[in-house]
Amino acid sequence: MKPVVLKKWIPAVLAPAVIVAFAVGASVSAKAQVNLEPKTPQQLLELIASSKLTDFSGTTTATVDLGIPPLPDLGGTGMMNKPDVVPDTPNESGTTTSPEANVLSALSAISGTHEARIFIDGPDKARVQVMDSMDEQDFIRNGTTIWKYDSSDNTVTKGTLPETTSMKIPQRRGTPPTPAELTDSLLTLVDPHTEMSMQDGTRIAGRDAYTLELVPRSDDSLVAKVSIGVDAQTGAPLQVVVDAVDQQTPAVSMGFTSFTPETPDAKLFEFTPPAGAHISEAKIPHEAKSQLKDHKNATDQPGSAHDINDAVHGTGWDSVVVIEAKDVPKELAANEMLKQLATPVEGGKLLHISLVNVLLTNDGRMVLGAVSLDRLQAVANGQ
Amino acid sequence: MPSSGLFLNELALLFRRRRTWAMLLALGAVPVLIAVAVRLTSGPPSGRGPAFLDQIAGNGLFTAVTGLFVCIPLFLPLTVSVVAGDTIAGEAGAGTLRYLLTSPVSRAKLLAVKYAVAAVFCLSATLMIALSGIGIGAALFSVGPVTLLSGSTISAAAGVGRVGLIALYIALSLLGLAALGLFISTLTDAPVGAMAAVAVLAIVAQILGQLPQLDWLHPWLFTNHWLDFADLLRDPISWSSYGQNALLQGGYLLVFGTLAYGRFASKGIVS
Repeated sequence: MKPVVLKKWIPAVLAPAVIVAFAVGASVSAKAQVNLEPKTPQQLLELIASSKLTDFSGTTTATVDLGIPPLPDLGGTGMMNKPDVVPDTPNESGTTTSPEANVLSALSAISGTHEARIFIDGPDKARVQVMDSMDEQDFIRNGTTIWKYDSSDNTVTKGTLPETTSMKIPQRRGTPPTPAELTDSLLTLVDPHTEMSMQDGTRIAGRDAYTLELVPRSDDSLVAKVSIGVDAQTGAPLQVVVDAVDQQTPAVSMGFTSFTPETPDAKLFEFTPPAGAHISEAKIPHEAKSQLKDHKNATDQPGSAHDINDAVHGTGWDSVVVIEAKDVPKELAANEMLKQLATPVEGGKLLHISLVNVLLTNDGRMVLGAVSLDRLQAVANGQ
Repeated sequence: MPSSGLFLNELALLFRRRRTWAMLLALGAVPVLIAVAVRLTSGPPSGRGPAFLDQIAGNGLFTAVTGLFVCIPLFLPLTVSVVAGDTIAGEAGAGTLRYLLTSPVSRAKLLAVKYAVAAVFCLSATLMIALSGIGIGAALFSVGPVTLLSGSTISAAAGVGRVGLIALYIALSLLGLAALGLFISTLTDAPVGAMAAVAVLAIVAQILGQLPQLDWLHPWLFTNHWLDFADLLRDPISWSSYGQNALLQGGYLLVFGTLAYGRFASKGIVS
């Protein structure tokens, strides 16, 4: 080819080069070291505790990798009924009640990537919008009134909280907790069982952030490490990443992709049920204790507060929960899906999902914890 | 001849073609079919069928949204493939490219004009579906305040505005495909081959987007944000998918626009 002809192709060569440069530049600047005033873990915890940030909004994504292969659709909740839902989006509105479908929808509701927008104004006004491809679930709290709206079936659930409670938005299955909530619960584990260290600063949601790393001082834990990103300016936790022991990608990665430390529009917390929506009232127990009294009426999921208090063995990262055979829900024990996922081991069957091992013993007990199989078997045999 | 004159000329040429109007009318017929089907039956049970289908009976405006949703995977890419695949290959195949190039317009400008005309078609196609959907929805059903995905209610006028935004979003989504079509069109003198190749690529990209094993590839597929228009039906509107989509389509335009230029400017025109 003549040089003149070659010259015409220069833009075509440059264009991808420019795009690659941009893409690389973006990832480099995202990983670029951020110069922050050095802090010890203790100082960082104080920064978090002293954070006066009460009003903010932002978009969060939560990615959960349970370390199990993608599950096939088992009719009922799959593409047949809802062709508008792409396969990897959660679908917990499934009305079929077979246990297989329930377990499936629960697992698919947890795993994958979820996006939610969060608006917080003080302790008693909050709105969480969980966004699916074609649907949205809204959880709104305004004072003592709470609303839940589900666009997939156009239903509204209304509840009223007792005056004194400082309860946060009720957590439903499939709703990612805010990073702040998750950090709070993780920091309660910070004790002699855990090694804390500061890592290099990063940028999260376009803001400078400290990174606190927690490593369990335990050989049995399935948790490799927990990294918490904390906004250097406001002390608000922006990101939580939990790595599992033998898994390359994080088991749980949750954080803000955009973050605005300003009071959101007050209109967001006012909710009027749309015309034509099915409205139902939800009863909210006044105290946790009343929940215990209503234990029989309450959902019979394993691991409700009552069971845990009685059956925890060990402390810290090595805690193991034992559920007696009579308390294991029958539909769970007989579930075909679980039986297929579980692998036979000495003394029972093991179900392993990234951060949790569940041992279904031959005598019907369920032993679970974020620990290795050896420890589960030791606890199971020790009784 | 200034390029604006050339642009108007080419635009007139596109819209004088019977084929163009046949495609636009076929697209416009989709919402009509949907609306009539919903009207004649008792409507689908909640949660079945394409998104928003169950809301049409309650609010005619959703006919436009459902129509657009149904057309995105196949009908819209097909029509855009026809127009974009025809841009250069059509002229070459008919032997008119030589004469077009005798006018004092640079080849780069001619490409830009051809692409702009294809982009106008993308917008006309989505607006056609939206307008037809609003029209038939208003004729067969009641049109009232619109319930957004977040549960908020906006006025019917604001609802029409949202439908317009969705039409714009989808037109934007098709720009990457149109650029791809422009490039493929410079490769061949057979317009039908170019059209088929572009249509196939649109389908292949969507299939690849469905495979969870190719997660790493998904952000680079031009179809990646095609179905994210629901973000415009939230309260407040989530603009991030609009921005990401614009960036993605702009990248495709840059890469395949320059490739088309490289090919077209260095090619010896004999036909």
